[in-house]
Formats: sequence, C-alpha cells, structure tokens
Amino acid sequence: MLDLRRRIQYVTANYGELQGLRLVPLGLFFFTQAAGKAGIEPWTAVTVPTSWAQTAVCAPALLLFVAIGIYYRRTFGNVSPPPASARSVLSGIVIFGSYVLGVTLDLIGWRNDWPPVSLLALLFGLRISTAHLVRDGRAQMHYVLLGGMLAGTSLLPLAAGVGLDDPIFGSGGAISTIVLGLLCIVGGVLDHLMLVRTFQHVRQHAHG
Amino acid sequence: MAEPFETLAGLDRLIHEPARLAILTALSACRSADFLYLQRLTGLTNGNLSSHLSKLAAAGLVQVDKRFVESKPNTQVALTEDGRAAIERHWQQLEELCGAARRWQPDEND
Repeated sequence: MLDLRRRIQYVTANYGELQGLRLVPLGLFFFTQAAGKAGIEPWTAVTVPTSWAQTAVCAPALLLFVAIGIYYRRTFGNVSPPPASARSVLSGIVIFGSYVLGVTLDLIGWRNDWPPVSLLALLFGLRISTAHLVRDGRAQMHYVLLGGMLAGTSLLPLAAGVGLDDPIFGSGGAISTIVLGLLCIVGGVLDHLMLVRTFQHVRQHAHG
Repeated sequence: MAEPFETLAGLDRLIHEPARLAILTALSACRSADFLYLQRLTGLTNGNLSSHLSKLAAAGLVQVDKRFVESKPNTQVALTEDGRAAIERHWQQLEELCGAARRWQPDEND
C-alpha cells in the first residue's frame, strides 16, 4: 500500500514528463538527422530549416508532438503540476547556464577544439543521468544508462582521433545524434508504460 | 503506542475507502487535476467518481471547480488545506501502523 502511495504521487507529480510518446517523433527526427550527417540519401541534416525540403523533415515531428499531446489530454486528462521547488529552479539555472557557457566558449574558439571532447554532450548526458538517478525516491535506470551513453559520446572525437567537427564522431555528429534519438524513443516508451501500468495498478486497488 | 489493531479501527473511513484514498493521494502531488484524470486513474464511472468527490467536498477535503473550457465542461479538483493535512496524517498513520504491525508480538497470556 505504501508503494501505491509513492507510485500515485510520482506519476501525478511527473505526469507531463511521463507523456513519453510525445518524444518518439523527436527521436525519429534525430535518427533522420544522424542519417543526414552520415551522408545517407535522401536524408539531410537540419539546424534551422531554410528550405521546403528541410521543413518537410521537421514538420511531421512537430505535428506529431502536438497531436500526441492532444491524445494524452483527451485520454488521460490534465494535471496542474506542483510548484517547482527552489532546489529544482536553482538546478535548472545552473544547468542552463552551463550549457550557454559551454556553447559560447566553443563558438568563440577559446580552446581551439582542444581537448577534442564535446562539452555539450558531456554536460547534457551527465545532467540526464544524475537527474534521473534518484528522483522522488525512484531511479529511472533507462535514463541513467542512456544519459551515460550520451556523455560517453563526448569522448568519441578523442577516441577516434578526429576533430569536433567530424560528421560521424564529432560534437553533434551522427553517433551522438543516434544516442539522442534512442534516449527519446526508449525513454519515452518506457515512461508511457510506467504511466499506463500505474493507472492499471491503481484501478485494481480502487475497486478493492 | 496504541496496539496496531486499535489504530486500524481508528482510521478515518472517509479517507481510507480505496477510491477516495487514491483520489486524495493523487491530488496531494499536484495543484489540481481534472475529472478525466481522476476517472482514468481510479477506473470509476462518472457517477461513482462524482459521488466520491461530493463526499470529499462535503467534508471540506477537496474543492471542486466546474467551468467551461473551449465550450466544453471541465471539472477541476484540488485539495483544500484541511484535505492536504488530512491525507498526510492518514498516510503517516498507515506507515506507523505498518511498523507497529511488523513489531507486534502476541501477549503470552492470550
């Protein structure tokens, strides 16, 4: 019964994030981006859509993201989450600040691509791993592992002996993009299953 | 500490009913939830859920706000301060009860 309390509270407090199917189109979009970076036709890598062809790659993912959100609202309803704690706000500010600092320093070439390690993948991957390590008393191991994998891709340029701009092993290259896609799809599907299973479990309990 | 059986008999039945316990527990983890979410969570029919919410509202544990969103009826449910305190107290009682039950030994004279 005490486990029931934790499950209900966890799912309700994190309801928005557990709508995991919304991430699946994003994951598929990352796969197309990885194919584009690897030079696999007809896919094309997009940073900002500047042509109708590139928009055609982005648009379905965005539309599906919105449509799946509507599905969740109409199927499972809506929850107003609890106010963010001061700790999570501070954590968000620190992490966002780190991202901005890392990207800015790389853009101005402060380190001349040395060491050849993708700071963005490292920070983002570590952030995902640690944030899901112990969350509301639960460890979401799939995010811990996938975040760790993403952080690991930051070392690929060093391991492969290539520059950060390498399309396969470099920062934002095909491999790290594939891992991002996996993170979205695997994490999203497992989150959705957690939501559905908790609902099933609670229904059994509520009916005595 | 009271015997676990005495504690068990003293639990608030309004809160301890399984569906209402699930409703109050869910509401304790958010600012509010809509009728559909609570219905999907508990698997109750519209009528059953409305009945449970009425009882909880009559006891001052929840606040039910009926409105129209995009011309469709929308019911939002939130815990009151009394409701939040009551569900916390109830779960604390249950945790203490579990601990006491684990430690309980029958009296040798029984």
